[in-house]
Amino acid sequence: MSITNERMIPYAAALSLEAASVGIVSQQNSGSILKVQILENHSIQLGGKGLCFNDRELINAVSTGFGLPHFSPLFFNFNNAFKSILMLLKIKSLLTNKETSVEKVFIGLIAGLAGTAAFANHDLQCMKLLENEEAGIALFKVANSDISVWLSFSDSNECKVGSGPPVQQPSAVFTFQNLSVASNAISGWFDHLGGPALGQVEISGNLPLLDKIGYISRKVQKLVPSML
Amino acid sequence: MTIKREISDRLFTRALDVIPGGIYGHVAPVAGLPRCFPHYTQSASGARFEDVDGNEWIDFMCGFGAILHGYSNPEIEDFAEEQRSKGSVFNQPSPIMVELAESLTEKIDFADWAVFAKNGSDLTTWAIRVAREHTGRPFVIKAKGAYHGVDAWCDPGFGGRVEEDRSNIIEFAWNDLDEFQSLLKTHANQISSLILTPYHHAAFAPSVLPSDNFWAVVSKECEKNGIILILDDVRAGGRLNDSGSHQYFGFTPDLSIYSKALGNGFAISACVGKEFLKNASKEVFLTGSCWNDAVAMAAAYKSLEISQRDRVAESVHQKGDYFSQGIVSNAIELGLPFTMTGPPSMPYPWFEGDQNLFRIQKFCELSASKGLYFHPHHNWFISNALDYNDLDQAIDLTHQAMIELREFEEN
Repeated sequence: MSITNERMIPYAAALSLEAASVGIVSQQNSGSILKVQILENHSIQLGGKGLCFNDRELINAVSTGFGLPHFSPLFFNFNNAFKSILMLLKIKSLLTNKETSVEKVFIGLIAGLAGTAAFANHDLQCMKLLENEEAGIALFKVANSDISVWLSFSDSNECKVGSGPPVQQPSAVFTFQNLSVASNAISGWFDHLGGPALGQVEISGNLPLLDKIGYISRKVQKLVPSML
Repeated sequence: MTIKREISDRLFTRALDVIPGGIYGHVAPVAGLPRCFPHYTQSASGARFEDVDGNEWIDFMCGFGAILHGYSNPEIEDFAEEQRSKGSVFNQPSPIMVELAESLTEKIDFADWAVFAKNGSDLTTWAIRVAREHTGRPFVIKAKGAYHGVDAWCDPGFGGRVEEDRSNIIEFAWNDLDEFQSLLKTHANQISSLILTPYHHAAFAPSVLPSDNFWAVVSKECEKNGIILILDDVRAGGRLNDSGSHQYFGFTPDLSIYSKALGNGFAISACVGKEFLKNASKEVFLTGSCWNDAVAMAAAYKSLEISQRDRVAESVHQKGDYFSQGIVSNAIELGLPFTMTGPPSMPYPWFEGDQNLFRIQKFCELSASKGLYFHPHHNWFISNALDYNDLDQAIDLTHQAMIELREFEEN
């Protein structure tokens, strides 16, 4: 599947929502996963039939908390759409909560990395950055917590996001000093040059890979709107 | 040794307010060991430096290669001071510029002329333009992963570039002569220059020396195809041979660029070239307000004189060899698969199988706790100010660091 330039931002936003929903379901054992399906005519479906936005409204939804979905699929699949809307509200409530919590940081990280993976897989500049990288895993952790989120790169350079213990030895490890630093980072308040120097994060392993992921994630943070 | 870092951190925190990222570029803490290395240096002398918190380090980075004869070398400092007392930057260049150009053309066998700037990048970029002017061709060949400076055609960063910046730059893998020759075929009569370092000294990877016939083939093909051979001797210049690294590997470039060690810490770069490129060089604009800096030129003049007089390249080669053998012996004794790659005067440390660099990072971290400034991701530099006592001390300390590394890995 190839994503056109103009659809890259809503697509990345949608994948972030899907990853956030997966994270919430894994933590709460309930809720509906917002599986993304890219449709023609500039629409994106979330969580199976029912909830479907055009690209612009999806961007409104992630940036302001409200976007107008297509009506007819919603009415014809109301139960499913309702479950998806509930999940969207859960994500919103979690991420806009002023309190820093393990759950908020975990969901924020996994959502952010999903957007990064979307660009790594489909944005030409980002694909080129990663084209010579070997297969491996970049692990993101928060010290003194169970948070463990990772990006994996296959031999064919496909990038995937995951959580929990990584499936193989990571090739690079990025550890936030605490929840507060990680929370700032997901909100865009993190100096990637200053943070490591002051011990706010520890970095080890394949630093060129982390450097590339960092550049892509900052690009995503700059381009893809969010409520954070 | 417990490394103090309060003042370093305080300064860095202040810097973050007024300098993007606090410290940027190759000396950015994030590129090394951010919590093991100091952020700021107070002073340096010979082969040691003291950071702002008062920790003393035995140095194996030499200002990333800018220091060859030791920090604050008295002979160079005195000579530079003499010029400083007369002034540094004027409306016109000072006589030392002519003397320095004469010194370079006398010492470097193929050099008929010389120009000066401040950084390696100033002149690698200028040199490829001279080659384009001379040949009227657009393309430049370089080796993949090679560093030639901060300009958009070659910088290792990701930001602020457009596709066109590199549309005329083509690459081949170092030592892959088949790939090189295939580029010559696919871009026949379109290639202006080939720019290469004397050996492949990429960051984050072991150094690779040229294969036996590499320079012979490359030189012959350049001559045959009318391609200007540019040697980027910015990093290695003065450390492999006092008269240029091409002598060490036995070939002759058309243009060669020096910086780093040229001024022993004073900001200066030079490009030297063959007579047939003199006219083209006059057509490519070259200037900078402080590029005629007489103090840096004086430092370079004296630095070159010392190099020749004391056969410094040979000396740092021998010291590097002694040091590398000492560390490798320690590693063998402890069963660690450690090697030194590249020339002995600029060794790049490497643990076999450590592609992701965790092991070298830990080793350098443990070494840092003993006051050894070893970079985990960049080749090291041997200063001629290191004496054999310094080297023995460093070898002993690495032995201890390796024991601790083994213990760390066993646990």
